[in-house]
Amino acid sequence: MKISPIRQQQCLLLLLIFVFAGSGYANPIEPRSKQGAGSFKGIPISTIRDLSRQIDDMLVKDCEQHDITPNPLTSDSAFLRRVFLDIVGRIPTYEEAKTFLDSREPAKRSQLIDHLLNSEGYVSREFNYWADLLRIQSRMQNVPGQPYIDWLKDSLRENKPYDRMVRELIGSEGYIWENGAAGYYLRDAGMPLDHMANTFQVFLGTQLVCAQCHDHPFDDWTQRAYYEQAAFIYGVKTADPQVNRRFRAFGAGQKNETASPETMAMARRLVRPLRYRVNETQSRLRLPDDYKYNDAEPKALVEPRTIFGDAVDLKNGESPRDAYANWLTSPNNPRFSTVIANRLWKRAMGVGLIEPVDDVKEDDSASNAELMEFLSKLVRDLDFDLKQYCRVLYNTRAFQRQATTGDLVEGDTYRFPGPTLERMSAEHLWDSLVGLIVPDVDERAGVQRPDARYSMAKDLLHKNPDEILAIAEEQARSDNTKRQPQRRMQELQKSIREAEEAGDRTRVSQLRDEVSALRRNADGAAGMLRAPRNGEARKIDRQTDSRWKGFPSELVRASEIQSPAPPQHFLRQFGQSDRETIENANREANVPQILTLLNGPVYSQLTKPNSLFYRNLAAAPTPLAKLQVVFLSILSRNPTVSEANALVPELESRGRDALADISWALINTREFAFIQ
Amino acid sequence: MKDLLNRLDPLSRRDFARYIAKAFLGVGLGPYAAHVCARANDATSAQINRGSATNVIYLFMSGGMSHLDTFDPKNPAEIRGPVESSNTNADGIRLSQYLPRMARHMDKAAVIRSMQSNQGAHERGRYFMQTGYTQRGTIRHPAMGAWAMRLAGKLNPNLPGYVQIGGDSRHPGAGFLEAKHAPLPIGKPSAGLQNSSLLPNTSFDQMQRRLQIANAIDSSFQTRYNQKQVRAYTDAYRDAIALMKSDDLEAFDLNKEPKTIRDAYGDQDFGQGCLLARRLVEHRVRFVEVSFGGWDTHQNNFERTQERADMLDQGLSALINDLNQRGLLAKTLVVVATEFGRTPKINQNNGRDHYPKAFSCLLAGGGIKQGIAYGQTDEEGGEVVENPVTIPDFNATIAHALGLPQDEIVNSPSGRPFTVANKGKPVIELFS
Repeated sequence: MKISPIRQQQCLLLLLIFVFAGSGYANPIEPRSKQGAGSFKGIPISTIRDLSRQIDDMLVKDCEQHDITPNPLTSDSAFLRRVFLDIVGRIPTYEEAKTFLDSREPAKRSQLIDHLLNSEGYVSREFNYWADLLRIQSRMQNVPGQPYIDWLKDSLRENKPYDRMVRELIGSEGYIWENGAAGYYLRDAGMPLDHMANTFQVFLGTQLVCAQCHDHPFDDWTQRAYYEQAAFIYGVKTADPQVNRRFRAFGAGQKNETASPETMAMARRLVRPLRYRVNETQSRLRLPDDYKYNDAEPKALVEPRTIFGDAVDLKNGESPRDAYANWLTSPNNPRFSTVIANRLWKRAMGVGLIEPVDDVKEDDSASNAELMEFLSKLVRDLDFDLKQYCRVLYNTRAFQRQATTGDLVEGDTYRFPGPTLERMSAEHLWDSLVGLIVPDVDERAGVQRPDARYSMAKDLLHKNPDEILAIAEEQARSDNTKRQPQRRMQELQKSIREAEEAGDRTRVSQLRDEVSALRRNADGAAGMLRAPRNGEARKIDRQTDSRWKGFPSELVRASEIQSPAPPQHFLRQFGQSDRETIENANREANVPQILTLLNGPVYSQLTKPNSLFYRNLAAAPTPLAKLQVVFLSILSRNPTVSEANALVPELESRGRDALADISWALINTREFAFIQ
Repeated sequence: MKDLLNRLDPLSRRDFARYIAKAFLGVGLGPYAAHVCARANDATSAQINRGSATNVIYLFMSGGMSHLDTFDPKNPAEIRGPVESSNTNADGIRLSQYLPRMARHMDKAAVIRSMQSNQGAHERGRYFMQTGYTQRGTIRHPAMGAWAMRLAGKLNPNLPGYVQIGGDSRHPGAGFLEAKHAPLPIGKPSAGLQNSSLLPNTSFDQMQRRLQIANAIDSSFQTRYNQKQVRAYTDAYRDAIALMKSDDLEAFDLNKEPKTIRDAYGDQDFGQGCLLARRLVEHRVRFVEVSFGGWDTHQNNFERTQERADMLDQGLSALINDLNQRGLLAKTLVVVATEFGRTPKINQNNGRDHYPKAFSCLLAGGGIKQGIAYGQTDEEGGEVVENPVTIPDFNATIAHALGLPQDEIVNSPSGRPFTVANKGKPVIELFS
């Protein structure tokens, strides 16, 4: 695993031969400085197509060598559905499906890919992917994670180059409310060794974790080498001892003779975001007390040293973690580009060229080494512009082939005759169903309001404990006033349930009126902790815009819901990651999922007159046109002739009931839940 | 017998089961009767003759429960921190002061203080504990509940045999076994099994009609993609519909419990999960797992462990007490497990780090000796000094209590042979 200097030279030599022999390509790509951020002005589609073709040539050659016939190309509708799910994370709407399928434009597939890559839906889908990898949670152990979430979405929206994004994470400093990237360290607060293992697994596809406690049993990692690697970031601390000292009076369990327990609790809450600040100290890592190998003493100080690849010489005064971030993301560290190239390949095709994607033992262990090398180099030549890289992948014929029909055989190497069949992810399913109901769903923001403590934090930082107590007292009082209507609301809702059970309609309607009155008042008297910041105005607008009047506030895309969703939520039922460990989602069948698809609340939303689905149906003039709306909305294809022959008479005789039956039936097909 | 039972209404069906139990076997309540019924249905369960448990309630403390602050308290001040220990109603067993209620029920349980693992990372540690196998990139092993399903089968044909309450999203589940052995997940116990009744103004006939339309449209897809993952959905539809039609559905409804009982378990998800587990076991669900996270106390260990331990204490003691009073404890093995312990050394953040070398688990019921401590760690809680129990041993002990055939080889789809508990040795001394 560790690449010796001689082997490095060999690799370099091979690479040079490879490039000059013409199996690679001369870098045809303009440097990024000439491109506009987030758009494709710099790279013409002809260049992209040329790159896609080279990938296809390698795959076809590989298939031929192994006597495998590549799958036929997909129909337009199968392509449409797959590319929407892959790039924007939901199925196309009726309009989107119809526009694409009706188009006679020969380049419509490439055009659609470009359109989707530059849409807001792309940010949402990519967020889900990265939130799984980085284990991003709305509630972290010390501070709320929303600024980290916002930072990630902004980075994706502006298409920040991947190497820069990683350097910003590793080099992050300050409070999370000043710099969202600081969430990277706060997520693993108090666990510097685990943090290093996670970083290696995500960005370098390498499993170091065994070496945390002993020499790695299968790889070459020693415990000492692991500690040396971790030493680069050991100085990074997440707590601020000075602030902690200053606000010691508000520590857990501290009492104050004059302040009430509520005031003390509020003060503790207010200063909490001030206590956690990412900062690099001189603190140095030591070997564990029970270090058992002969090459060093237990508790010996550890010097930072990279576990593989180029050595890093720390210059005088240079921050160890900056040096380490540069080493990790350097074009000279091919593992960095290989891992992301392979991860995104797997995301598009279903299987990695190297499997598992996060336990890469050798750089040359890919099932198609030539292709892996090509893709890794492509990521580097694109200056880590992952959007462009994905653009190349989606333009391949390989991606646009039909899904492989049979089960993959364990132990066999997949030669990529086409993508594999996959169940939609939890987010795919949720976003697709919400997209049937809510118009312009990609634009709609979630209900999480910014934590007002963050907007107050800068101010509070300069207050003394007495001043903070005064603010806390005021805050606790206003909070209490705010909560009274909330409590009353809960009581009322309980009474409504009871009255409903007792069948007392008059009382139900009385209570409902009281609820409405309370709601009107409560909106005016929102407490200080819920007040939006100026910078959040855009989000609030995205939430209250008239396009979404009458739609429940929870009908937003998965990326706009708290991360992870609560345990009983649809998303978790269908296998959304709990974001505790890396890539922890699953796509397994279970009974509660089916109960949701059979009897869940989606149908009552779908049949409301304001739902997108319903409006499209209402606008369709004939039974056949209505049937087309149902099929295009749910399955992204038109009904076949035999389907139309069987179902149109149903619609003619049973009207709306038949429509409800057919829509329900389509959502309950495997064709709906799987991506072919 | 199955037909006969089905013809009785639900209440008399249970009465009938109790009657059989009392008349023929001299035991008090349902589960054994259920066991007899299941045997009549399932020839393989005739092999169950070694243990006395028919059901398991498996409580998993996710994140790594500090043994030092719960079941294996130590004296030296630099190790115990601010936590005192106290006597229990079992002779010679002391527990941490964070578990006052368990101290009054320790006479019904056995604590194992000599657990050992070699996996120090959460996901791998959890996987090892839940499956008995270390994690590999090439295969996924079944969790213990799936093994129980595969080797002993369901007890109640209408309900899932394996239910997992509040678990993490990457549970090993059925592993390489068929999807029908996978646990049914319940996110929030008080919410029960959501969406289990028909849509408003819809009849079963109408649903069947809709399903026929769905199948007609879907047949070409299902024929084309005849894959395991697609068939798993078709199976899940069948199971879901059977469940909707079953009278046993009320097993999932905690509102059927009196308030005093609900309060006794504690109003948090863990306590309510324990209560739901008891209801499910009463309805003859074979294996119920309840996950309880938040034990990863690298920082502020004492504050956070106390908070967790309080919920564990309330839920666990209420569960053991309730099962005992209902006569279910003899047939129900209660397990408290975790992926590893925590370091005797208190770190600079007043926390404790991962410690697989020595930790504690607890067993109660199902023929386990009562009021004993098995195994021992040294004075600092850092080394096992007596009767070490590996994770495969621990899983073998669960398998033994259930009477699962531990030498029966089950092949993965690729033909690799596996056995439940990975050749661990059951701790026979734990059985009375």
